[in-house]
Amino acid sequence: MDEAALIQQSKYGDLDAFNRLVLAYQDQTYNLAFRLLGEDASAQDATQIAFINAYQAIKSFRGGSFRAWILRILTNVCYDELRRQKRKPTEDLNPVDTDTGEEMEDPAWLSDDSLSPAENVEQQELEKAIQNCLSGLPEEFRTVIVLVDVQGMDYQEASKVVRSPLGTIRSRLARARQRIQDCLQNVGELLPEKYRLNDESRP
Amino acid sequence: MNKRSNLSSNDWLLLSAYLDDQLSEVEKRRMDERLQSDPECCLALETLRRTSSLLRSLPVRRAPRNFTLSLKSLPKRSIPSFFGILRFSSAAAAILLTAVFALDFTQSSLLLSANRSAEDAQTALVMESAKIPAAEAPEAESPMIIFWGAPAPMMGAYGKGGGGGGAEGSGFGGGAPATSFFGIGGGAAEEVLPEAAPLVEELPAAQATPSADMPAPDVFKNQQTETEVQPQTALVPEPLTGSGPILGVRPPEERVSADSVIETPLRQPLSEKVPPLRLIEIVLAAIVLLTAIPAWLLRRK
Repeated sequence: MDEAALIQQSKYGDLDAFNRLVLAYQDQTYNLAFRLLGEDASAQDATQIAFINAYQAIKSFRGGSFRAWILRILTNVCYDELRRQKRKPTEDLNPVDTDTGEEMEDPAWLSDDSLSPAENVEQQELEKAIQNCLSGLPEEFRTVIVLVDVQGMDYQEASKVVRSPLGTIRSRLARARQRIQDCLQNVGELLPEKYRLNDESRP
Repeated sequence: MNKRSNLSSNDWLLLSAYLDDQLSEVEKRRMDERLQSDPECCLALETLRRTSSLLRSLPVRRAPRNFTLSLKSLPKRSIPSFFGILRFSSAAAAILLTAVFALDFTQSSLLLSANRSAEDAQTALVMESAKIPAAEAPEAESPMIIFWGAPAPMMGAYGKGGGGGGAEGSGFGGGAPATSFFGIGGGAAEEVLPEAAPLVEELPAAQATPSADMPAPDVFKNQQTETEVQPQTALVPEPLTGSGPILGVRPPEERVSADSVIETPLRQPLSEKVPPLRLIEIVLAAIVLLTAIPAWLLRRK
């Protein structure tokens, strides 16, 4: 069954049809939530709330990109969560390495079976550095750069998600890339050599 | 080291859009020309491209579980709608409260001006009725003369507001019996007090030159507050005999006529004392508090 038919049935209250849409989009939705919020538990909560809100508001969907519509709902949920976190800052529950004093990420999230252990460590370092740089961006910059550079959306679809004109997407993306670039250059020494942006040996 | 110091933010914006092939044909041609001649621009573009590819290299986080919905997992709509009702009613009550405040303020201003014009009319009436006794008693111009027709026990019974009114009455040449002013009520007495107080303060000076022909007048002295004007020394008058007009003492028939003339207009403001808007304001303020606080608490949850 195609997406339009599932959406139409969902509008009549067919929960099974809506759940098929959930299964189709839950990875992208969760990934965006994780990149915006920076941790798993909040990202799961935000994803679940976004799908609940989407089901309750499915009758207001007027066509177009369903992905952009669901990701817009998720983005609003994430903004609410970020504001709530600012009001009530919570302690990170990740365990801290007693030797280095640094937080130990949950290995289950970060390990990739296709990589060697050394490559896995490099990948984890890189991801952690990028995620820290992303978390340091203002919300609106972060959303745009995650949508375009991380999720691979084009400018038009990203503009529908954040409900901003293309010119705004273009300028926000440029400034976000500049900031990320500066941030990664500052932590460049900590990155594996092949990922350093200011590596003079590279062309 | 930051290598983009010689590039403007607009250059970076164009480079970023160039990277994503989002420039117009003209912009793209210009950028191509510039890239051929400007190595710094080339390096900036390359750095941007690597940054972008680093971000694209981030692994896609797969959903750790299914987020499918069940009828159980769907929340009942009662709580959000209850929250919406609370939020709406608190906002509506706050707007109404503001409007009622504004109305109250406007009405108060109008009533104040109306009361003042009514007082002016009453004053004119009092002075009109006081013409004859004032003409008969030239020394009644003294503000501290109190007519013996005003019985002291009644003053005590009418309270402080009446005291203020009595003081003002004496300032008008003593034409009106003090008892008639007690009918004004607290509100009217308060408004005339600032004018009445200086009159009372003049009492000692006037008391220093009493007329030998006059009976000893009853004197009021200003106490600690303006409203607490009480008789200091109620000199007991000697029993008066005879029927001729005596300064400060009005014949019984005149007292009756003066009372009947003055009391009627002065007692009218009593019916206007109940403020109907005050009750509405209190009710609205209570609604605002009772709805806004639960709505705020619900939102925080």
